[in-house]
Amino acid sequence: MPLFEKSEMAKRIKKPRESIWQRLARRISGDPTPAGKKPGKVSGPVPATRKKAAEEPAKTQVVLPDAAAELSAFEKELRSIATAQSSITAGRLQMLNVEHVAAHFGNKWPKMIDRVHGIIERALRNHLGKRDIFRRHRQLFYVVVFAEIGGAEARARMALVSNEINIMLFGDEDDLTALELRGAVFDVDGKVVLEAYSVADAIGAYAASQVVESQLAEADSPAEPDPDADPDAADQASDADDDDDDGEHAPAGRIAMPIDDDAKLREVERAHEMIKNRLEQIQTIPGEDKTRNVEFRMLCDLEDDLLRLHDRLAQRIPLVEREEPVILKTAAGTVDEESTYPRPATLLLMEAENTYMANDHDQRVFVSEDHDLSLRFSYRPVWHVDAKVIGTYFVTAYFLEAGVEKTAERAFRKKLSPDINALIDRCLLRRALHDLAATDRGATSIICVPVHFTTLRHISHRHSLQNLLHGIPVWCRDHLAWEIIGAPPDTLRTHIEEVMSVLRPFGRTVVWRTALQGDKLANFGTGLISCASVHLRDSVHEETQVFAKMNAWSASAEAVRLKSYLRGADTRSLAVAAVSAGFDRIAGDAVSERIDTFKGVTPFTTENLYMSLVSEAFEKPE
Amino acid sequence: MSCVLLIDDDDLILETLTLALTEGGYQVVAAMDGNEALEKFKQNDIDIVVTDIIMPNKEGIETIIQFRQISPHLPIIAMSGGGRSSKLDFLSVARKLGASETLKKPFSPDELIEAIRRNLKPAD
Repeated sequence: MPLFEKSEMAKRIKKPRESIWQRLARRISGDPTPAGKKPGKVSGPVPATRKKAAEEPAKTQVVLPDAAAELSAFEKELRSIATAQSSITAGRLQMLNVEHVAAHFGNKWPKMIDRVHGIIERALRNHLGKRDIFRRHRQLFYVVVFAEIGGAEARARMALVSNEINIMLFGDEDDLTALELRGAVFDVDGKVVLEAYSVADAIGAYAASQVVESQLAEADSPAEPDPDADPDAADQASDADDDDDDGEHAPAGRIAMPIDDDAKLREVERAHEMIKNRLEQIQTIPGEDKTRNVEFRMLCDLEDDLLRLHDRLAQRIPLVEREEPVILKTAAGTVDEESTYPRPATLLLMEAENTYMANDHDQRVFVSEDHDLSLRFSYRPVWHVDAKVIGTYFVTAYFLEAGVEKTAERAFRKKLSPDINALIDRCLLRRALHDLAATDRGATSIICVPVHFTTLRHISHRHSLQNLLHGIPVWCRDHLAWEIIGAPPDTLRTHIEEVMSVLRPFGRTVVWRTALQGDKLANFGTGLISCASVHLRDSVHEETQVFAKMNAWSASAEAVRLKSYLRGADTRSLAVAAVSAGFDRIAGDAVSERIDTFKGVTPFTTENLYMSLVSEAFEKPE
Repeated sequence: MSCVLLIDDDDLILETLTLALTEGGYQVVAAMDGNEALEKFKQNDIDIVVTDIIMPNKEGIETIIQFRQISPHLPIIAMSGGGRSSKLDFLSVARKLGASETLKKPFSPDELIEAIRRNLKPAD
């Protein structure tokens, strides 16, 4: 509904009330002051101005900008931008049309123009990332180019911008269709078109994508049925979810569903209500004197939302600005242990990241006493067989539950979501960077940091990781290597190139983890990657069968001149077999148990494999 | 008749060497890995051990060390071909860690029998 058609409603001059979206956006930006109370903002007086402006007859003839001409020129320019750079056509190029605002102010527009554009630009700055850009075109249009997020999120952010502009100008947040928004997409003919969408559409699609994400995550865990799950929501949102996975396909066609307006509105309202209900359970309480000291209270069924919010906090607040730690607490007594099992593990990971973000790296063990669960960070030494040294260390995290060591997958008892993977990756990187920095340029060895493939492919997770990567001092990069883990066996070459290019500038080498069988190493042998690894933990075979597979894998790697890493050599027989198979670097309990922090380059020969055994055999009395 | 504990995960080699040693006048107890060998050592009166190095479950050098712990004077012959890669010489490590003698694969049955004879010969 256009703004001028709804101006009567706006005349009610109600007290501006923050929407859940605004509150979320405000919290993400770390601003504790509600939008309506911001000093210098015009949310209070402006409704009166609007009312007055609507009532006052025009006293002088004012020439308003020719919207049609501006739009025509602007669209032409946008199409040329979008056509020249097809990547931004996937929903990343957005247009904001404030024609209705100008029309509403009528002959007051020339006086209001600077003020209005100031408000609009402030709203844009509030909701755009550091690398996103926007530009005003004459008086009525803005072009926004999102650097990294996908189409659905771009539209949702534009919705937040529009919503904020509404509140700032008119004190009315309920009109979700006041400003015209358009996103650049490819037409069926391959032409670039600027497709109009409403704020409600954008919020609905984004909310639906988030709902379906959480439902998919829950579907991975059959032991945790969600009693609140709406069976319809999965259907309505299943298409939108693809966008989040890839981040490069505009959901335009899916948003503009061929259904009648009422049905669409009901659907959007339902999705909006669902996400609103979920988000409202996150209570964010500003610290007493510390605007960046945020306390989350985590209630039931909020794990995914909280992770997402946490992820954004990590991404939006640069480390240098983070003077105060973000404290994470659970609402004591509100979480039922049986029904919400994975949460303690998630909370430990989040606590670890918060601690490390606060630059407190002394802590390597994070304990949940209520659940007899702890998260531990350590290093796994890697034996360089030819050089006869240990000179590389994998940074690792593992859980200890009731005294039993567990991988993250086992601690969570389900396949990990990309959110958890990304959280683990960031924790490991922060841990490694701190330990490296602590050597004060005296490091001689290399730390290999595992990074999940999903983290590199998922646009927001990649963004968070890149924020960390760009902060790595140049000297540290000589002491870092990366291991990309969890990539599907049939990963496209373009995707391999894409994820490798994210990490390559920040380390000596990038190792590509493969399965012991199934991956065709020959596909990698054209200079795409130089090192490949395999983890025996991923294999379910007995040692007899593993030997043959190790030999075959190593022969394939050698054929295409890949340096080979073997992880999970936990027995001497596996370590010896790995050497015999030709692996260049070997890690596992047989070589060395995990250690608290990495060391320098130390000599290591075959005999070292047996040192502990020799000590036992000849030093203990029979 | 001396009893030889023969350990190799390759059943073809195990069968061939068993046949050769039997024809050479030895009683043979065969095992596929170190764990099985240690069990059979307890159940039989073994005079000499002939073991491969690269084996699943418990490989040869670890097996040698454990035999040394149980029976410090037991003659042990280690044999290995080095596997697909010959990056490291496991036989020299085996020698350092307790093997009485080493044989590099491939070898003839006669070479093995001769090595066994040398190691079973009573010390002067």
